[in-house]
Amino acid sequence: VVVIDEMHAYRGIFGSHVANVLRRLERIAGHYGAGFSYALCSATIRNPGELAHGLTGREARVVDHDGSPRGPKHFVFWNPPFIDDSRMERRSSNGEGSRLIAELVAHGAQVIAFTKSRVAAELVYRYARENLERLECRDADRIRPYRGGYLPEERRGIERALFSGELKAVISTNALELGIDVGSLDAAILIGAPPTLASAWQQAGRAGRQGDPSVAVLVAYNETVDQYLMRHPEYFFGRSPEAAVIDAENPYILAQQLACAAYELPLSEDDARRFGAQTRAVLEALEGSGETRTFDGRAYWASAEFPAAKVNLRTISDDTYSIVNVREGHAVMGTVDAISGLELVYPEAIYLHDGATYFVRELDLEQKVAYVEPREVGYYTQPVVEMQIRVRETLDETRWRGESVQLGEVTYAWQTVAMKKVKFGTRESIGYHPLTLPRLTLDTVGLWLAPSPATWAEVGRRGANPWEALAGVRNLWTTLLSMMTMCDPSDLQGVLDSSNLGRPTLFLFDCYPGGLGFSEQGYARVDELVAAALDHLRACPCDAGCPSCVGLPVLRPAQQQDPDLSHARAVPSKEAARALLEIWCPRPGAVAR
Amino acid sequence: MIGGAELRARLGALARSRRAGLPLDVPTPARVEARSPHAVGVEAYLPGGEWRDERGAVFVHERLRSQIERPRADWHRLGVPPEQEEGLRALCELELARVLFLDLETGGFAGSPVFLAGTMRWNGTDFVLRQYFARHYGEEAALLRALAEESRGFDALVSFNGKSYDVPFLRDRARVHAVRLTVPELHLDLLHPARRRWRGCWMDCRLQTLELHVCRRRRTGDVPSDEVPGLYHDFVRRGDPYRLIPVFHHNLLDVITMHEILKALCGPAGRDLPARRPRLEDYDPPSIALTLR
Repeated sequence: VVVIDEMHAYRGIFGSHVANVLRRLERIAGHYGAGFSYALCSATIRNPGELAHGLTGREARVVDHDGSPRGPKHFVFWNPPFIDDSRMERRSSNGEGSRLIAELVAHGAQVIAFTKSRVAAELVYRYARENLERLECRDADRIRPYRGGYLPEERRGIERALFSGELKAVISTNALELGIDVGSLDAAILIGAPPTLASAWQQAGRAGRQGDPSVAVLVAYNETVDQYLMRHPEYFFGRSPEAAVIDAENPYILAQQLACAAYELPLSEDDARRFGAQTRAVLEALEGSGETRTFDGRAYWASAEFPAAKVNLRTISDDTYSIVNVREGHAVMGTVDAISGLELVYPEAIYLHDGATYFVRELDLEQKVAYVEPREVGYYTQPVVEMQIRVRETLDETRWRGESVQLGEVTYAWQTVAMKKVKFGTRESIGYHPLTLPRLTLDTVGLWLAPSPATWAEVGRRGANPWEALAGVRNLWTTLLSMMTMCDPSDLQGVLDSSNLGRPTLFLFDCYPGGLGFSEQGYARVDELVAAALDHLRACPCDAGCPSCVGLPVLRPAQQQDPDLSHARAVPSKEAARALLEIWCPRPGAVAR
Repeated sequence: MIGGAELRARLGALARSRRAGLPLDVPTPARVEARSPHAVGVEAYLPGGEWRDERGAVFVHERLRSQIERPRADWHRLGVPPEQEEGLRALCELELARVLFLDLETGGFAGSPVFLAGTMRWNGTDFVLRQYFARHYGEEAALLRALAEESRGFDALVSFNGKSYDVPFLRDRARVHAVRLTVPELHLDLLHPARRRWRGCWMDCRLQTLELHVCRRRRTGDVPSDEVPGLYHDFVRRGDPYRLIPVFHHNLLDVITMHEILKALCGPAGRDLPARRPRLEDYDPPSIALTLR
């Protein structure tokens, strides 16, 4: 039996690769006369049977009966109150969350809190501890923060202590959401809405033991999706969790995987059944470009290179920075992946670890080491990240409804250009420092469309803000293209930019080096994309726009940002997006099928 | 990412024409017929024939060592190995005709194909050099079967680094192709006694270093080992034998040199040791080259 735990994590690009890796495994096992069956475990998603089938290529039987004793659960939505009558700024959500944790611990409850970023986990921990000390609670030192980047032994220690009950509260990132048995606790505090409903329910489900009542609290940030949920709790409770979608037959992914398979054992006609209907066409492409060679109906890998070394299953980097404490004999105290490193341990940053403040003396980019020393300061730091998109080359261009739509190679770049010092507690900004750090880039394929000046003017004439219209369409397209191409919404990114074409342009690109054909499909199917967006907009029961239609479907996962510093921006206007889409697609209800 | 611009262009066309979730509705292009790798084969340059069984064939090139270099009367006399070298002693107790020398050339990392297996055996008057060559990837299984058949008749195997490389590689490939392959139980890997004898004498103990200093022979027109896999894949792709011929040469000399090293190891220690680190200009070693017909 091959067991696949946390199956729902294998979605999008990653899942599509893994599905093929499983087919390769089965193929090799079969060659040596071995067979196996699968057991797959998943968090609650909309389509567990479908995903299991997609991953394994076999029929799956869904066992979804939960026989565990379950007590009543109270789900509380907690919106921090406004600071004053101007009704602009709300009380700190980290502060509110930490007070809730402290009160619960003081009343003898065991608590797990989930934050949206690593820095937030550290901050909430600091504040919760201060609150407990203020309450003169004797359990003040029985709470800990927990996040990725701690050393494995430190993490294991915290998990054990939480499980045994020695710890009364752990303030974690989503690192504790999956795969780790922490037992059942009395309360789960979600500080900020997780990016998906599936993960919200997963986090809330950490509370509730053996039939006893439990509580889950969602503390909202003053930010778009959170505030929408506070106004529309029915949205949270009424929708089924997201589906996890894969596309094992994506030609780009399949080409990489078939190359690896050919290296393992030559591919024959039989393998078309295993790897799907695209197999033959993709093999032709591999053969035609000389990657494989076929003899007697069997395709062989035709190079001295080791193909699997060139295939990255995930979109994230495997590189890490070590964080070294120069006061403790240069011991490594933590790690951070190379992409986040430049947003976390840049020179003069304050690195938070276990709630304590460390000053970054030096960041060695070559050796990938950050040298830090403990330093008592009253502030933390936040990176100021600048993002940019550049067209490298136009691959194709088409006229469509009076607009020019283009497909091409783009470079998406981001760079930490400065840091901001923020005072603990009050969130006051106490200064900026410019920084000189390398720019990180993603070279990929994207499509873009800059509405013509006539279209732009027409949106305005219909009483809508064209910028909002374009932002709404970008969000709709990101969601709908991910559905059309069977990738995860986070495998795509959309940005608005005026610097390339000299007028506002909507860019949509694949979040994978070199691209995986999502934008290419969008480019070939703009008609459908527009019709589907209009259809979706009309079908959405909301009045003025919501996270399901024109709202922000995907936020760039900002591991190193404190969401407490963000300000709620309105969901782009639904009417504006509709105005733009109707200019492009005038016949009411015209939907391409 | 695997592949270059050409592959990306082909996949891009597929991606654009594709409707996710539905089987691709474009006509399947005609299967690319592999150009026959036999069209411009190696036969024209390396005399030999085919080894064949009911499942396939492999090219075999065979020649006598005396066709390559002047025969020496003491070729078959190994001498008396040092007391402490048990492996050498065990080997010397056998008749030389019971010993098979072996060296492989492969397509790259573990998991890639074996394409050339060079063997050498003593026929009582001369050494017979035989090279099994897979003209394309599909002939690897036949190569392994042919080699299995040949090696069955021997009591001992001699290799250079074969315990770490050639034999595990061969076993691995035999398992993939379900070929029953037994190598002689007695396997003398010359690398280890060579290290014991000559460690520190020269810059390293690689075969070609020993060839230069122990056999006092310099190669001409040889291919560096790390270029060998690429040359083979190029040959399969393009069918042009000119650049592959030196690989046969390389493999042949490796096998011959093994025998020379074996003889040196069985000879008295000391005579072969330099008084000081030798320089190349100290002697002008005769070169050995494979002549083409």
